[in-house]
Amino acid sequence: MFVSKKLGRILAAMCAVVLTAGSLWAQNVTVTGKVVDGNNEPVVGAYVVVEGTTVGTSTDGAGAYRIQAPANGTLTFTCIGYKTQSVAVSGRTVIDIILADDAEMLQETVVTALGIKKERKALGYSVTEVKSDELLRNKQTNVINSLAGKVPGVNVTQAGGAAGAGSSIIIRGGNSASEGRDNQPLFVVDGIIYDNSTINGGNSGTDGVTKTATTFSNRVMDINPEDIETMSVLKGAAAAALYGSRAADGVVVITTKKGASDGHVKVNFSSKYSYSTISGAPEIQNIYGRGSYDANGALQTDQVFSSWGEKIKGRTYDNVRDFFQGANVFDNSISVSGGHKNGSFFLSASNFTQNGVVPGTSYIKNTVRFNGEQKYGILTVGANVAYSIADTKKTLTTSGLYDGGGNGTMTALYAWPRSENMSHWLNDDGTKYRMFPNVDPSEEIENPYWIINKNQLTDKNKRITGAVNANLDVTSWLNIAYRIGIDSYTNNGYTYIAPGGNVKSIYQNGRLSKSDVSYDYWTSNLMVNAHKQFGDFDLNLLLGTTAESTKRVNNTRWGWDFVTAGTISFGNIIDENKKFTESTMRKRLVGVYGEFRAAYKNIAYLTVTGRNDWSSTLPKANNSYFYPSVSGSFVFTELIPKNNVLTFGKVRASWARVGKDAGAYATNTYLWDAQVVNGNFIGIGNSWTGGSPYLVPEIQTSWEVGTELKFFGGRLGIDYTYYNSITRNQIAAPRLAQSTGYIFLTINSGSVQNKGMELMITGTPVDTRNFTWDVTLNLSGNRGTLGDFVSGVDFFYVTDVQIGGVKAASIPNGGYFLGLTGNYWVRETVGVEERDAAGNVTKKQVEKEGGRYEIDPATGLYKLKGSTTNVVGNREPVMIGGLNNNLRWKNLSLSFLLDLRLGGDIYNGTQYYLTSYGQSMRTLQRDRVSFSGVVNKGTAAEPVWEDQTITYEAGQTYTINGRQYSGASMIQSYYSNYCNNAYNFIEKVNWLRLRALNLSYDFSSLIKKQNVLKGLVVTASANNLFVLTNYTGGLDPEAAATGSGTGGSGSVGIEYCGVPSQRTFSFGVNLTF
Amino acid sequence: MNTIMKKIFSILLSLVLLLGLTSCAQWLDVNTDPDSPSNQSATVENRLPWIQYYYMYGWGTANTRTSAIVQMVTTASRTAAIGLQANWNPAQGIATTVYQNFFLGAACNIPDLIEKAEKEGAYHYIGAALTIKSMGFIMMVDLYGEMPYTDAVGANYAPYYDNGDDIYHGCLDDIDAAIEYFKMTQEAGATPLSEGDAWCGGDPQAWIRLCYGLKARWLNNLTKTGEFNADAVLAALEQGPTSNAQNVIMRHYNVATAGTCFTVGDAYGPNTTWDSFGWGAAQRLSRYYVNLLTNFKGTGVEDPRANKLIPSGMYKVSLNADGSIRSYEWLRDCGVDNQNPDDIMTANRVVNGNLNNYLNLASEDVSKTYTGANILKYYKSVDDFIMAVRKYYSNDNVTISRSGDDVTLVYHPGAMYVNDTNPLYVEDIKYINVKADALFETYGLAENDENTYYCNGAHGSRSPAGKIGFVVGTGAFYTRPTSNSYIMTYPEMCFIKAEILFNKGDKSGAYTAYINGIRAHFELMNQRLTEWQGAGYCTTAKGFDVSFAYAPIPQSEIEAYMKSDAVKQSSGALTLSDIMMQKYIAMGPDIQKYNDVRKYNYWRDGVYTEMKTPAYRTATGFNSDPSKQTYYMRRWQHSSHETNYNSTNVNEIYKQYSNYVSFSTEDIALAPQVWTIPVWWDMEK
Repeated sequence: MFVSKKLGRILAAMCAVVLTAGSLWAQNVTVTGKVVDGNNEPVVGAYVVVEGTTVGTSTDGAGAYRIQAPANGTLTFTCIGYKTQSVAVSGRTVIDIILADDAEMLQETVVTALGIKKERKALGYSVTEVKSDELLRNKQTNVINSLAGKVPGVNVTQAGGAAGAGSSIIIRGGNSASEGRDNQPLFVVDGIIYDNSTINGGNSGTDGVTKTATTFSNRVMDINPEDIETMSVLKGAAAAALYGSRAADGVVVITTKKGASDGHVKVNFSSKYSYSTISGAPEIQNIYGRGSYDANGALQTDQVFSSWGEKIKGRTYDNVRDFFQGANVFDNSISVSGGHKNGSFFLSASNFTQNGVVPGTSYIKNTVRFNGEQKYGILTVGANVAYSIADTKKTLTTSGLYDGGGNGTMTALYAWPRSENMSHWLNDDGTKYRMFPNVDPSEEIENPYWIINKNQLTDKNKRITGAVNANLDVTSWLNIAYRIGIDSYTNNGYTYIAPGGNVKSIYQNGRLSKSDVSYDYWTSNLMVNAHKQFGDFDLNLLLGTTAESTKRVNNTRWGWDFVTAGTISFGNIIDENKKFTESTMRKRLVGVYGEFRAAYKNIAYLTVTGRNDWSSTLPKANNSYFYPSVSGSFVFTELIPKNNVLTFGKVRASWARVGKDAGAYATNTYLWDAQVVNGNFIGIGNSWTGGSPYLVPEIQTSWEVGTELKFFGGRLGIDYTYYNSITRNQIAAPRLAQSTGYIFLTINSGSVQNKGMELMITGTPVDTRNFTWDVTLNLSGNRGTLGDFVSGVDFFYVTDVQIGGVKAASIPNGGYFLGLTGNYWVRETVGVEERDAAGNVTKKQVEKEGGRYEIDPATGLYKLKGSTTNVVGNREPVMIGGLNNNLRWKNLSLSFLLDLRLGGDIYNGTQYYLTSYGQSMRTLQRDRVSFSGVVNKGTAAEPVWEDQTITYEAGQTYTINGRQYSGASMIQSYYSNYCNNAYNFIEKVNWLRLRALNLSYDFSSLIKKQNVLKGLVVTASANNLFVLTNYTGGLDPEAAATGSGTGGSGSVGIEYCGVPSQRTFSFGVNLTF
Repeated sequence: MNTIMKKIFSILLSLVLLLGLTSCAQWLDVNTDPDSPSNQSATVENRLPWIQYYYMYGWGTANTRTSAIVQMVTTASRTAAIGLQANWNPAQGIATTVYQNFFLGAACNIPDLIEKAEKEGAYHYIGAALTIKSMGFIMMVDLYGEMPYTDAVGANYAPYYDNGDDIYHGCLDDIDAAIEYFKMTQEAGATPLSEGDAWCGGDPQAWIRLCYGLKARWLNNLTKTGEFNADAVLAALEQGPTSNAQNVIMRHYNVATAGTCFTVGDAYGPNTTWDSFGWGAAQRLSRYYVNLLTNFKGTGVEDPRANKLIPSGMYKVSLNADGSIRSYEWLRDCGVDNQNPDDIMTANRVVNGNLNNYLNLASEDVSKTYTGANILKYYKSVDDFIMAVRKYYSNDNVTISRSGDDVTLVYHPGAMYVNDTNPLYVEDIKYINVKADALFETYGLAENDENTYYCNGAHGSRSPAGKIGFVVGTGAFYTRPTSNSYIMTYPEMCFIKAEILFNKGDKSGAYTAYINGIRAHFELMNQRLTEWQGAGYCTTAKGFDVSFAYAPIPQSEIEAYMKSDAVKQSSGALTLSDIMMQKYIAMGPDIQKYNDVRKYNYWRDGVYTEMKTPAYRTATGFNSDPSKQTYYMRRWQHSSHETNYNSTNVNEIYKQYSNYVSFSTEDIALAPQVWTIPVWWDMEK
């Protein structure tokens, strides 16, 4: 306080100088007055400036001001959110002003880090805000999905069309290159960090419920989208810098609705019914039935599930289309809100009930929320609390339970031979129908109908979030805010594999697992904000501190072999077959931060921030980290004459350093379970994952430049950003030389670099009283690469995802962050001369780019390179974007969102899978395959390449490497060899999709003659109406093989036997009372 | 108002300071997993057994793989890992297990053990830690030439390499330090060594003898270096084990432990050399080793140890009507001749085609027809083939019928047969698997493999009731699940002494030590055989007498052998070759044999006579001149974990061998010539 008093005196003296300067040229009067808004509320912090001078002041907490002005001068009153007003002094000494709200100006403020509203033009970085009406226009129960196509630089990936399936969101490319690291942005709801984990309570080591076994929700789905007022996407490090070690992947700041303080109570009810069907299904050949030809050319059908058999003579079955169902969604929500000048409240409740396109699956979500605020003089106290329950019924999708045998619903469905009726899964007497009754059930493919009717996979999530905040306007220029909040949920996973399943023998009498995850997070945040204007300089200083604590406990119980049929309970399992584990994760973080902002007139803006974090996850010696940022913007149009073309122009630049701390417990080495060794000794030893006492956080250094231009009075706007970020000290656990003592050691190694561009063009081609047309086009492209591996690290295991013939892992130094590695067909080689260390010229054979494929005489097929670390593709799209149109004609509104993607590889895992089973349309050449290549008639060192064309005909016999094979079996071998060349399934994919179409009519003007109903809007909408794409095989290329829970570079760009995306038609009504 | 504000502000400020500075450090101290014990908490008495086990696992694997190089063992398949070693056609794959078990199982625990032991003053544990550390790193040098040592298991995740001599000197220093620690009295309250010591029962004196034995062994390896000092070796010998009672042995247990080792997945109980040498269907002894025991240096003498060291199996089995065995004979393994490329059929089966791994026991009549055309590929005549068949099958076993040149064999129940119609494989039943205690009704089926853990005490009890109890193989002395691991023995001390004295010209002293060594080895074997006999191992559960393989060797047979031509009867007749080849027998499968064989350049220096180039040696990069050191297998390539994840350092350390390794390839570490570079003590100047 002493310091600020002193500072105050100095500043006052400086002001006096300025004021004195201003009084030199005219007769001055002292003007006082009060500035209020339309509700007669004082406007705090409005700037009062003597026009044409640098003399100015700002209003205090009561809206009062005092200023020296020439008696014949003019005062200009400006404040964010209000229309600027100029008033001639005309000798008056008291001038009271009512500032009118400025809707246009309001749009120009955005919610930034820590919930601080800032003028858009003051920002030195790019922030995109999505408001409630835009979110609700194509309302998705997962708000992440609502962002798809709307925000440049944001990539949303859905995990297919299963009910309750989560989505992942990546902003400006991922920054962390290992499976255990999440690259999704931080979500902050009303100032409280909101967990967006994807809970997979089980794992391969316990109950076998892995990420690929089924679908999981991401927890932001717990938010009722109707409650959201705005979502601000803070993309770059500078925007998010105040979040320090949580900021590296960007932040989505969500602000929920508050009651209006206009003295009225408003009731809003909206109801929507949707009907969904699958948007597409894999194309499956309908010619050949179940069976396989052996080397002698004999047809085998016993225990053969694949479709390499004879041409189907009888009936064929469309098992896939018959399996999926139309799905209904009922979505109802109601809110009551209101308030007066000293308080407001908002209360909402919602129910969302969705049946999945897979029979038996569903997602049901219920939410309630209360937001309230009350003022007591200079103190404002607010509280908010939200409660949600989500119930999901799921099915196994692409695999059975890990190490449990069995298979997924989707994989079995897609591979089910067309000659077989899949819906015949029960015999007439109610017993299980078995295709191969003579083999052990573990060797038989499980019928999808059995899986969905007999097994049960559910999870239930109950979550409460809330915060209490107090806001003290100490003086007109000093504000203190404190907030304490919690986020707490329990997630109960339940998996039941019914007796009689085609699973490993120990599970054939049933299997049960329950997994409880409890998550508790609390945070405390104190913020002091001082704001003063000194002449043309507007200064703001913010200081704050935060502390947060996270605890996650996972209890898993599992067992198998029910004693008595019919009772699904652990009590019905003997002790030897029951197991449990418990794990606890705790993290704590303390941060101290500050931000200094300075603005010069409306021309130049500078923001400097700093934050120091102390994280529990880092070694004590180096757990303190400082994260600075600086950003600025310059409105150059203020310096050029006003004109009708370029209305507004600004350039901006920022630089920031943010970070990401380690996962919990990485600093210690833990032990293997104790063992009885050497007869009767108890032995324990260090696990092969070593502790890392030297860890430092990942540090992201990022800069961006951009410009924002508005033409023709705002009818056309352009917002362009170039950004570049490098995240060094990647915390990863790559494989290491075991002379370190460990296989895996969490270390700092390598960097991820992202650079890219974002462009947003907004336009209003038509703007008349009755007809308006707003259009927004956004485009962005990111390039992510890995680099700077430390010596000893040759590959980065960027994620666990491994599907079909490819892995999204084992990326070498300098490789694509979203690279794909896999096996491929070898091409002919050419000799390349190189010099050794001694300077001697040696010749080395390297594969010739675009050369002919080499045929391996030992197999009679193309030669395969089994290198799993060979980069075969890059999953990063060249460009993504969206075209969002809003048209209004009188009360009728039409909006549609086109979403586009250009380039980038997608691995067609479904086609890989179908090909391997003889189900793909690609395998229709069964009578004869012919292919050309070269064989090496020389040596490996001195090859002599000779053209060769190989033809296999079904009826013939071939001798290969001394053994005889039937032509039919060689044709099958050709296709299985075909599967192993990853390039056969990597497609450069473009798409244009009509993601959302929305038609609504506002009846409000027709119902004016009564007092009950104030608003009535009726809406018809459709999602995913069409996709134009070059992607082959019939499924939506957008779906990722695994959902949002996959860390590192994730499974985006790998499509594999997912639940098909949904096409949805909705009809809704929105009533306001 | 102003004062209230001031107060609020100062309270908030002090709260911030309190939270930020005072309690912050404590509040953040939550980064220890409450559900798992950490390396900070592991006690010394639990840590040492773990280190002993994993060192031992690495050693056991090293034993098997080096025994293949020195022509003791091979595999049915010449392309299996051990088969490749035996044929000096090595593949990088074999280089992982030893290294992995030492570093991940043992070495990473040693700094933690020492730190904990220092805290409580448990000096004997420090001694044990330093001893095992030295044993492990010397093993690394002996196999790989050099290895990260000073930089290993530390902060550097791409550890730099140390040269072999530096590691040797470091280890010798550590051994001296260990001896001092064992001589110290532990602090009061420190954990007694006996609580965690599976090697010496906690006896510091036994550890000291082990340390001196190790010094003697290692210093004796240095003959090609300038620092070789025969007297230092002799001095160390005096303080090593001076009788079999002082041997350092690790005992093993044929139990299926609840957990299995994390590196390989084997049970924690059984012998760790057995895990790779005596387990699995593929391992076969080499003819070179069998000849040492049946025809030592061409003398034709049958060594009484042969029945114990070479496995035998049942053949010519006749069954009773109820399926039980009426009569049978024992067939002792003849060893696979790995060295003779000329004899297409009997001698060099590994060259001619892999041995048939999957022998079957007929439970009903099995008919196989062999075409004349195929028979005449391998036999001079069809009659020769039929005679060969009759060597291994009685009339009860097999009915032979001939049609032209085609021969049909009907294998009757109880007959072991090769499930193939290629006549090449018919005689493969004479190669008895090294696999211990293989007593199955049928053989070669995976589900039987796990049974080998359980044949405790009542020998063969796991042969299921009602089955015939067919003994496929008796196993061999060193490589049964319950065999001892001989860490340091008196016989080795004798042979080192004999070698040193012989080379010094003290023939009579050398002779005494040589005779003592042979006798001591008989005694060592009989100690264990007596225990097996006492535990009932000499009779199988079905009552078959296997005492020839399990009972102690009668003294009369020992004396007869000692008087035979296989043993030199006077110091004048004694040769270095006699000493070293008897040591070869007495060391079992120990890795030290590989050191000895390299020291004398295989057969080049006239020491390991009858040893020859493996017939299937086709590896590139090996010198073709047997007079050159680089003709032979001199070391192992570094494992893929080093060449993949520490390649810069590997390539850097290899650069000193530009004479041996062609630089035409970027990655020197993967050059095949690496296998031919002598390790530091083996390199001729």
